[in-house]
Amino acid sequence: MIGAGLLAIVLALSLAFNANSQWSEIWSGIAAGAGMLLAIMAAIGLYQQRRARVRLDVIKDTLIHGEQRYRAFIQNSAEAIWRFELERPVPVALSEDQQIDQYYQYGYLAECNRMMAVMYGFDDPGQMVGMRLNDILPRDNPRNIEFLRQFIQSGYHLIDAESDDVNRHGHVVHALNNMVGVIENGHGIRVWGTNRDITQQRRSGEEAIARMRQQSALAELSQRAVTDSLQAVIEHASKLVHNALSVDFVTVLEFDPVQHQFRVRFGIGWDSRIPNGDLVPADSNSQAGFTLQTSPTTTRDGFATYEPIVFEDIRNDTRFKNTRLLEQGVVGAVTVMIHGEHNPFGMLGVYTAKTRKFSSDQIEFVQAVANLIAAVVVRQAGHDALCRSEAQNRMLVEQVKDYAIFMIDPDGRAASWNEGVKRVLGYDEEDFLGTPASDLFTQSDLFKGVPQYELAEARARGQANNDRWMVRKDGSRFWASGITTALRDEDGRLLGFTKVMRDDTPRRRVEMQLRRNQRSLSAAQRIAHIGNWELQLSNLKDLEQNVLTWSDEVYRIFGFKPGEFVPTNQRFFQSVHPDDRQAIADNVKAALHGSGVYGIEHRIVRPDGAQRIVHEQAEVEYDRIGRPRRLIGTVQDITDRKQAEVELEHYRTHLEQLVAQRSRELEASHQRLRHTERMVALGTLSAGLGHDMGNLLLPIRIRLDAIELKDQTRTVLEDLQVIRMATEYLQRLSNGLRLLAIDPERNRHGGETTNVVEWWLDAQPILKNALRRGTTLQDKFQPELPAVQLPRHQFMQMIFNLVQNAGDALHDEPEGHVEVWAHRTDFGHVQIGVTDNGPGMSPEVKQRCLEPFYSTKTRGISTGLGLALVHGIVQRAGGQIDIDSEIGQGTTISITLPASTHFSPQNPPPGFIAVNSLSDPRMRSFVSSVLSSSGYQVIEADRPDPARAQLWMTETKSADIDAVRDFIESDGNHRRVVLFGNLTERINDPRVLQLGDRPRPAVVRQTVTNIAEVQSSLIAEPPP
Amino acid sequence: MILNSPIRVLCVDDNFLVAEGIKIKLSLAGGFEWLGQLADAEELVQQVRHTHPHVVLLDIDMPGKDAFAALEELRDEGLDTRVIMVSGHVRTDLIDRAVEAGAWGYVSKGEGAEQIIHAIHDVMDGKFVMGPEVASEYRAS
Repeated sequence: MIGAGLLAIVLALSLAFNANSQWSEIWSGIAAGAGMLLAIMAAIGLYQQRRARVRLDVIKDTLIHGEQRYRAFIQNSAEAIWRFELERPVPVALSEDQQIDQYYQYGYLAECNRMMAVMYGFDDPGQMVGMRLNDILPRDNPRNIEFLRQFIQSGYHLIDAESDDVNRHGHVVHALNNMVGVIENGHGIRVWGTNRDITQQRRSGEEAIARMRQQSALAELSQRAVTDSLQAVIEHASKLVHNALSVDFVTVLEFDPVQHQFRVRFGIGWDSRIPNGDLVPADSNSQAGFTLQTSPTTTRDGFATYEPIVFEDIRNDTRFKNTRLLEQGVVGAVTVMIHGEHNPFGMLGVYTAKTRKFSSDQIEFVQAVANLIAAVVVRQAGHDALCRSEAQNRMLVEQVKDYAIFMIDPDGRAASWNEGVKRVLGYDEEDFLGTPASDLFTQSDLFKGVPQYELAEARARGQANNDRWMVRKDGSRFWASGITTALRDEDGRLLGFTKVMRDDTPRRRVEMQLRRNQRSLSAAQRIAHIGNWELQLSNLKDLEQNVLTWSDEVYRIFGFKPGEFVPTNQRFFQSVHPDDRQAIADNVKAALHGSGVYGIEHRIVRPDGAQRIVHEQAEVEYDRIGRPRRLIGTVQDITDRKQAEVELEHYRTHLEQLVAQRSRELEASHQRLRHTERMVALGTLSAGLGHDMGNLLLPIRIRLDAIELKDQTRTVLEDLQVIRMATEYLQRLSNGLRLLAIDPERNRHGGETTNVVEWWLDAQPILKNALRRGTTLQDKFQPELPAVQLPRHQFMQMIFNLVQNAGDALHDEPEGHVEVWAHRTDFGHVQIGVTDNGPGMSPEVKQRCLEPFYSTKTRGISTGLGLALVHGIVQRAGGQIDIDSEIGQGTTISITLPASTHFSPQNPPPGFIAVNSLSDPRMRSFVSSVLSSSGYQVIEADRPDPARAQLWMTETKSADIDAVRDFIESDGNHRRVVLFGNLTERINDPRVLQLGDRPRPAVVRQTVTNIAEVQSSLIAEPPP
Repeated sequence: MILNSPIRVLCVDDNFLVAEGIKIKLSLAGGFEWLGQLADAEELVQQVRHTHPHVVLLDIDMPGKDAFAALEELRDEGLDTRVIMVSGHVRTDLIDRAVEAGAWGYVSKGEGAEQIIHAIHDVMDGKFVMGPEVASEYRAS
């Protein structure tokens, strides 16, 4: 370029001085020739001098500041830089596996910079020094083994190779590595390298990385094409293509038109049978010869380019045969001719060992590289190499219309243009040149200083990523994907920058959509607790050797942070509950060997010990010939659902129990209601019947009395006697019926008593009717039996049930016999019983017969409540029930009840004395009547007498307060006074309960009942 | 109440046979003046004012005017006539109402005519009367 500039100056001067001379053309020709020679010589001289000086300076600087600069460079580098030392030198003669083994055994990190510490989650590089290789590059990840294998295969010089490292927290870091092994005396002793974190880019997809590599390679080659020798460019281009396309072999052949054969200029990946310099026939049957036959296309600038020849599988290709390639294991390839100055120079070929479909991007890339080599060939071919190469370089970049490739001068203005600029950015050449590069950035990026930052990065690191939204000439935005490379001359001076970019908007949109979909999927998985996983099945014999991938949610389900480690089959099984592992293994085996699918619920144990239940479903994916290719599955955390199911089952069972219990209660309630209704209906009928009978019997009996008083014959008197007996019977029946009318549910009990003998007279007709005809009813009562403390209606209800039960038991007995009996016991109680000569009870029946609803009879006959009802009445009355029964020996049910106490002056009631001084004689008499009917002896006196009286009545309107006070003081039994009526003044003594002068009948009744209850308890439990 | 003259008795009962029977019984017993029988309580106060009975035997379960309402009217008149309830129904609530309304006694028809004569005499002696069956029921409630 400098030469070109000088040449232009000389030409301009000669034209200026000789513009009007006839000889001017001759002179100008001579001057131009001489000027040209002078200029070239001067330029070469200057160039050589400057180069020597720069070299000296560099050596000098290196000597003076070597260590210091080295340190500063390393520490301040934007890339991670590191040095691994091997504790023991590793012989390169060992097999790859052995070398890898020893790298892991002896390799440790000896040095690294700050960027590396940051990249791996450490604060300081010193924290990393000493880490073993396995700490950073886990050996259990098959990809990492492959990575090291590539390193060895590359001759210990690996460029842009990816590894799956782990950081301090165990998270995977996808690293892009460049590394060089130091070999001494056939032994590896250390490895230098740089790497950077491409985790983010990796997630954007392999394609993006490949594209980036290609762009990077193109940019780098463009730069080298200007300065480097042909051989250096060929070798470098081969390596770049080899790595950028991840192909197995690369060859650059040079065509010898005289011998009509190719010679190998450079090769990568071939074994020793194809050394450099080897000859390759160019007959039309071979692939190389076939490629040679392609015709160049001439561009508008006269530049020739060739169409690449692509084959996916050489074994099936009918166009040519190439046994040499087949012997090397080549399957797929792209070959393209490299144009020379006038004739084809040679051929660039990239080859794969497997079937491969090359994308148009990749094919175009190979073609572009071939053209770059061609540019160098031309550049070296003649004296105008510089101009030609620049022109061809321009041609080259113009070929790549999908890429905007242009230069920016150090001031940040566009300095070149290609077709791609028009296509991608919308600028014509004249518009574009001189345009500030910042015009291409969005307002947002301008505001953030992105243009300056990008150039600064390119300046510092050589290259800078150029992936961002940019602005076309018409103001529209597009997603640019490319690289900005700093362009320097041989002295290291910055000449400007090259920018390579393409419009990647559709791909970006797809990627963004993909990311959104992935985020949605991830969110959906997180919400639904569903994760997905994939197990590559490259090794069916040992599943451990296959690559397993988990989605983020799988990590979460298993209790880990997403990406916390590289999943393996072994790690998976570690999380599975030990008891479930075999079942899973069996399912996987069955799926792989036939069914193709499996679904299983199993337990997992999280790192914190928590057990979860998951459901896994998986399908085997097969290749075209039916071999299992991979196993794709989902895993869902169903613990909550399972728990909900268990709880639901629990609630359902509980609900059923509640329903059953409620049903029983309802049944019981229903039975009680039916029984009550039956009894009430019976009572209503009985009451009506008893009432009407009583009404009719009254006049009959009165008339009998009247007739008897008249003089009658003996016969008539005898007849009257019979009629009287009949009416007396009917009267008792009427009374008995009215006893039944009492509500059986009424169970209040307060001092009421029943005279058993008197009761029997009324009850006997009813009870007799409760028995079947032929069954006899007898009574046996002890003379002078005291009353029992139980209301008549309850007593009736109780004995009626017992007699009825006895009658039912005697249903099949021809000579049934029932006896109702009563006698006094030694402890102030009366025992009443009902005895029958029926079949008796079994021990089980005897034990359970008091339970509600227990019955040996059919429901139509019995409610099963009879004996339970009796038991309830007895318990409330403070009594006791006993059953004496044996099979074949009849049954006796006896009830023991407290005997009533009759109070008298000799047997005064404890606790209370009632004083009746009501002013109304009718009410005073009513109170005395109630007290008297409750067993109190009522004595009238002017004043209460503790020695003999329980009741003091006075006609005065108010009680004599002195008399009451005297009584309280003189009563040796310390009884309380219940006073009906007013005192002249109030006595402040808690022993006096005053009810006033006009008590209501219900209050009187309740008070007397309360007194009776308290006295009964005092009698039962006398104070010590 | 000390009398030298016969006890004047008025009977209110819708059952003619019952009233007739009591009339016969009182007649046989002697010492009573039968003032007549009312089939309902409608004209009780008026009849009492007119005939001045010492004792009224009052049935409860009758058609027409409520017996307790008539009893209260009689009490409110302030007349010196003592009323004994004579009923086939023996219930605590009825006894309570009778006492509150001013009755001097409560006798069950099932206790027989003799009990009614005793009741009339006791009431005339200033005693409140409850027949045995009535007393038993009242205390048992």
